[in-house]
Amino acid sequence: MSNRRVVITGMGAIVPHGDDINAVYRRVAAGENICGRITRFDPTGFLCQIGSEVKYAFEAPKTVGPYSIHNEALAFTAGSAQRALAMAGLTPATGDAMDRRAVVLSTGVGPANINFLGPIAQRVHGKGADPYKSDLAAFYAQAPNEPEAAGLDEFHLDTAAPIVAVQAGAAHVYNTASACASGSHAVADAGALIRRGEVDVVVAGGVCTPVTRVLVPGFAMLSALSTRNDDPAHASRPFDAGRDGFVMGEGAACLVLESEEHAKARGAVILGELGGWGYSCDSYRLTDPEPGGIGMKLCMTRALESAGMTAEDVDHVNAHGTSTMYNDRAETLAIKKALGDHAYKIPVSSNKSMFGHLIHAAGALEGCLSVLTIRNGIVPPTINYDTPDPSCDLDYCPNVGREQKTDVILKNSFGFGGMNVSVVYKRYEG
Amino acid sequence: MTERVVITGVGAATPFGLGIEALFEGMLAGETRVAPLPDARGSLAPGYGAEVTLKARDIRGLPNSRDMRPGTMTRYTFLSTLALGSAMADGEVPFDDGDGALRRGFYVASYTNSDRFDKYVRFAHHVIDEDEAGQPIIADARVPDAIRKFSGFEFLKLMNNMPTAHGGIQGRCQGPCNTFLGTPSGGVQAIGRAREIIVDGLADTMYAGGVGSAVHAQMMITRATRKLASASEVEPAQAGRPFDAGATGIVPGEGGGCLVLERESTAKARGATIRAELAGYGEWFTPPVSDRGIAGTPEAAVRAARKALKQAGIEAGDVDVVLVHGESRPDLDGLEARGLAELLGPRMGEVPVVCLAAHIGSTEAAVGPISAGLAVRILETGKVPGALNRSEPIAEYGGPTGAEATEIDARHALITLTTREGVSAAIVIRRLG
Repeated sequence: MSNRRVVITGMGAIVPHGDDINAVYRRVAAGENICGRITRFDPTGFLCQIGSEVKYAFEAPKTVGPYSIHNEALAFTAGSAQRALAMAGLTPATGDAMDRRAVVLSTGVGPANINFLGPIAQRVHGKGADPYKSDLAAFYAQAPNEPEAAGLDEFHLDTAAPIVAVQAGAAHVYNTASACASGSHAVADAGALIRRGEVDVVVAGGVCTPVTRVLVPGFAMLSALSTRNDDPAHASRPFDAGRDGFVMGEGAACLVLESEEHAKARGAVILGELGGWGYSCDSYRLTDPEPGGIGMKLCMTRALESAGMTAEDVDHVNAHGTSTMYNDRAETLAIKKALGDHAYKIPVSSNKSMFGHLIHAAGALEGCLSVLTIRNGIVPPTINYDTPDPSCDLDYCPNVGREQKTDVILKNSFGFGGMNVSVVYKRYEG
Repeated sequence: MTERVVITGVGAATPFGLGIEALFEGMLAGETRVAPLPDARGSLAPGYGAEVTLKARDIRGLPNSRDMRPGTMTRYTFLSTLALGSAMADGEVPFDDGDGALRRGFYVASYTNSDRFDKYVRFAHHVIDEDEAGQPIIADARVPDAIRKFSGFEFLKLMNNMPTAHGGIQGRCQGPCNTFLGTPSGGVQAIGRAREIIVDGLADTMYAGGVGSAVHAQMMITRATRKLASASEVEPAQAGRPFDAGATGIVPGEGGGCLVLERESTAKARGATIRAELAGYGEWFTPPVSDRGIAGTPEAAVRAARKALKQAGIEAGDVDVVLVHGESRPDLDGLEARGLAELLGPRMGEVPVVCLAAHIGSTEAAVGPISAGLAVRILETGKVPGALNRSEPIAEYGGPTGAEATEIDARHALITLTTREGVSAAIVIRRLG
C-alpha cells in the first residue's frame, strides 16, 4: 500500500449556525448556542420539543446534472458540496480523469414519509375513518395511482451521493452508514482511498434532516433526546452532570480531501492534513456503548497508529460528546484509556453543546471545525457545563473557548449499534 | 507482493431456503419461487413475488445465535443475519476466539430499513386533517397520541446501519464495519471494499454481502408508481425475464448473500477450506440521462468490469462465466446487454450469462453477493444454471438463451452489475488449483 499524505483543500456546510463554514466556526468558538424550540412543526405536547434547525435562506443548485434538488436534504447536500468544491477551486472532472475522484457520503434520512402518505390515506379511506381499522388492501391498490406516492422514496436520499459525484466529476461513489459515526466514517474512508493511491480527490461528508414529526418523538421514546423543553439553549450539555440527552440537528457538511502531490501540483491552498483514522465496532449492544469504552478506545488507538503518533502528540480531543448519560461517561473512560495521563492535560470539548447532534452529518461538520480550530488557534468550548459529573473528570474546556496553539486534534464519532470512528486532523507542514 | 484475498465461506438466505446450495440446485433445475403474494400485498402491483419463508427460529441453528434477537430486527436485518450466519457456518469461522474479533469486520449493503409500512400508513392517516380550504394538512397535535402505536425500539430498528450493528455482534467483529446504502450494485461494492480493507491490513477476515427486500409494501408501491413493476396479468413463474423481449418489469424478490473473505495466510493458518480467490474489483459511476432515468451508454459497466479484470490480471477473453443484474426491464437490460457485448466481443454468444431474477426476482443489494456465492459453486462444480425465461431475447442481447443447465471448465467468473442509478460494480472470482 502506498502511504501518500492526505490534505484538506475545501470545506462547506449548510448547518444551523450558517452556510459559511468560517463564520460557523467563529460562532461555535464563541460558544454561541443555536438550539431552540422546533419550528418545522408545532411540537406542543411532544415529549421533546427542541431542535437545531436551519432557519435561514441559503443558495443551493436547483438541479445538478439530471437530478432535481427537490427537497431540503438534497439542497443541504448539493449546497455544502458546492461550497467545498468552490473553496478547493475544483471543477468537475471528465472522462478518464473521473477515475481519480470519489465521493463518500454519509446519508441519513430525508423527508418523513407521512408527508406523502397522509393525504393518500385520507383520500382512500375518507375523512374520519379509523386509521387502525381501515383496509390496507384498498390503500395499497390506490396508492400507486396517487401523485404523492412518487415521494415515498425521498426518505432514503438515494440520489444524494450521486448528486455530489456529478458535482465533483467522480467515477467512484458510495455511502457510509454507521449512524452517528457516519460523517467521520466518510472522511476516514476518503483518507484510505487517497492514501492507497486509488484516487487523488475525494468529497466526503454527510447529510441528515431528522427534525421530523416521526423521528423526534421516536428517538425521544428511546430516551435519547433532551426534554429540557423550557430551556432549549441549555439542553445540550455534554459531560455536565445535568445532561439528559441530545438535541436533534439538521444540515450537511462536506470536505474536499486530496493527495498532497495533487493539491500542490495544482497550487491549491492546503487547509490541513488528515493524519490518520481508526475504525472499531463494540460488538456489544444495539443501544448502549460498551460501558468500559473498549471499542471507543480501540478506534482512538488505531487512529493514532494510523497517523504514526502517540498520545502525547494530541493537543485536543474534539469529542463525540452527545450529552447522553451513557456516551459521555463511556467516552471519557475511553479517552483516558487511549491517552493515559495525557488525557488530563488537554482540552476535550464537544461542539454539540452549541448545535446539537447532526447525526449523519455530525462527524463531517465537526471535522471541518477541527481543521479551523487548528488554523485559528481557539478551541471551541463545551458550553452549558455547570455541574461536574464525577464520572466525567477531564478538562472539557468549559463554557469559554480557549486560545491554544493546536497542531493535532483527535476527532471522535461514535454511533448507535457500536460503530466507532476516530480521525486525526493535524496542521499541514509542507 | 500483495497477499491474496480468498473466499472461505458463502452464505445466503433466499426464497429457496438457507444457504447457497438450495438456490444453486433450484436454479440448475430451472425452478422459480416467484408466486402470488399473500395478505394485502396481493392487491399491490404486480401481486406476486418471491419471498424468503425462513422464520426467526431458523436463526437458532446458526453460529452465535444466542446473541441474536429477531424481535429487534427489520426484515432487512433479519435477512442479513441469516445470510451472515449461513456464511459463518459454511466457512466454519471461529467467531468465539477472543482477540480474533479485533481483526474481523463486516461490510453489508442494504437499502431502506423500514419494513413496517402498514404502521406508517396508519400513523400518517391518524395525523392528517384538512385546512379551511379542504387541503390536507398534518395535525401536529395528534402526533403524540399516534406515536404511541410504536415502541422506541422500532425507531432504532429503522436506522440504516442496523444490519451491520447486528452483524457486528453476531460475527464478533471489532474491526471496520459499514452498511453500504443505495443501489443494487451496493452488495458488490461492499465485497470489493471489504477486499481493500484486508489488502490495506486493517483486518484479516471480512464478512461482506448485501441484503434486499422488494416484497414489502413500500417498495412495491414505489416501483408501481414509477412504472417499474412487472405486469399483474403475467403468470408469476414467467414474470422474471432477464434480457427477454417479453419482460414487463421488475419482479419483487428478497434475499441476502454473504461471503467470508480472508487473507490467504489467515485462512491457511486456521486450516480453512479455500473455495476461491476474490481476485479483482472495479466500480464506475455514470449519471442517468434524466432524474430516475438510466444512463445513455454502458460506459459505467464496461469500465467497472475492465477495472476488475485488470486488478485480477486477466482480460475479458479469460472470463468463463458472467453473473449479471438482469433486472427484467427492457431499458436497463438493453443497456446491460450492450455493455456485455462491448466487453466480451465475439465471445458474447458462448459465455454463459447467469441471472437471479427469473428464479427469485429482484433482490436489490443482495443480487451481487448471492451471485458471488453462486459463482463459487459454478467454479467448484462446473455446472451453470440455464437462461430461464430468455427464449425471445431483446435485440441487444447476443448471449446464450438455452434454459437447460450446462457444464463448463470454468476458472474465472465475472460478477458485474449495471444499475438504474448509474453505479456499476464488478468483481472477479478465480478458482484456485
